[in-house]
Amino acid sequence: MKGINGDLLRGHLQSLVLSVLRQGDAHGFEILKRLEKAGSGALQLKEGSLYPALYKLESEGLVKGVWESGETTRRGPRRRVYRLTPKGGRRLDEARGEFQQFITVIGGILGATA
Amino acid sequence: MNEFMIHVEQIVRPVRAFASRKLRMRQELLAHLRAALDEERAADGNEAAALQRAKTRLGEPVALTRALQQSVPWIERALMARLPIPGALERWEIRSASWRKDCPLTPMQSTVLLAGAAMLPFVDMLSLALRINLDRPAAQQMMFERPRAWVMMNLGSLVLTFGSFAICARFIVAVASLKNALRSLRVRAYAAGIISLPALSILLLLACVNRRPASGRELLLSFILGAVLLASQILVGRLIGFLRRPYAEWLMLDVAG
Repeated sequence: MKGINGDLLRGHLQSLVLSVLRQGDAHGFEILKRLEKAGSGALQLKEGSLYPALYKLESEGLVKGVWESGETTRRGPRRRVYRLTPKGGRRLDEARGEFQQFITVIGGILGATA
Repeated sequence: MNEFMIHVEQIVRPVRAFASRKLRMRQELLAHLRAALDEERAADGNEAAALQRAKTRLGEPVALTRALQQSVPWIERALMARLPIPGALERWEIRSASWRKDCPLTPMQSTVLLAGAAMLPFVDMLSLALRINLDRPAAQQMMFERPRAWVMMNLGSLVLTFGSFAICARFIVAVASLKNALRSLRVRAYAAGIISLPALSILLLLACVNRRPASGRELLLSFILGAVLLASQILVGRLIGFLRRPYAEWLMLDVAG
């Protein structure tokens, strides 16, 4: 399968993040692993680009981040765990609808099946 | 770990955002790199190659800096914009960095601190201005009848103001950055200077305007004022040191090149 790189992903990354956060709270690296798994290895994302997307989502109130508690046994720097907010859930539903419409319209023009 | 910190700092340092936001970016990127390294180590025992691959996975630093900058709210970007005057001060601070290697602050932060430190000696200058006001006829008389002494008094005030500014700023920086600042001989010398400043101001003023020596009460008051100044600056220095502790390890990294 041909990889989907940053240019094609642009504009969709935030919706993808919202989508994987619906599966449960996660920190940045875990979000990335979920995206990779869901994309079956086809998503070719520069990993650092995830964080600006997360910060934008948080500033819009679509996700909420909290620092991992100090009780964890893991060594190393602190991680921030993100949670989907109700507003983020609604935005995800909207994004799904918009994308479905996009596929229907553009797919119809290109002659591809949705 | 240090190599990763330098890499993260190269990405985050140029971002114009509040220090707390930048600290968060640093911590998250560092945590990510550590997790990526663990994965790469499992795939390949070569430590150096694993480090390099973990960094490559994060993406091109300049592009990431730009993306992080775009995630900062516009109001914050505007507040942290590099304006011409602070920019010039920053360049001056960078040039003078050789004599302040022990300071954990960035040049820009030092500049802001320096400006802030100047506020406290103004209490001292206020007492000077107040006294001039109280003795207005004498001051006016002096201006017209003894212009040379009047100029000398103003020059003296100017020297005292800049002296206060420099001493107080360096005292605060030293208290904020040195662990046992108050044991340092240099810091004690600054402290003695700060205590003496109000007394010097009053002596200068009374000698020039009223042509009389300062009374014991006036000198006592000026030393109390100096002690209050000193105590407040120790508190400010300690507070800055405490607030800056999480940032210090990042700010001291040499990311050039």
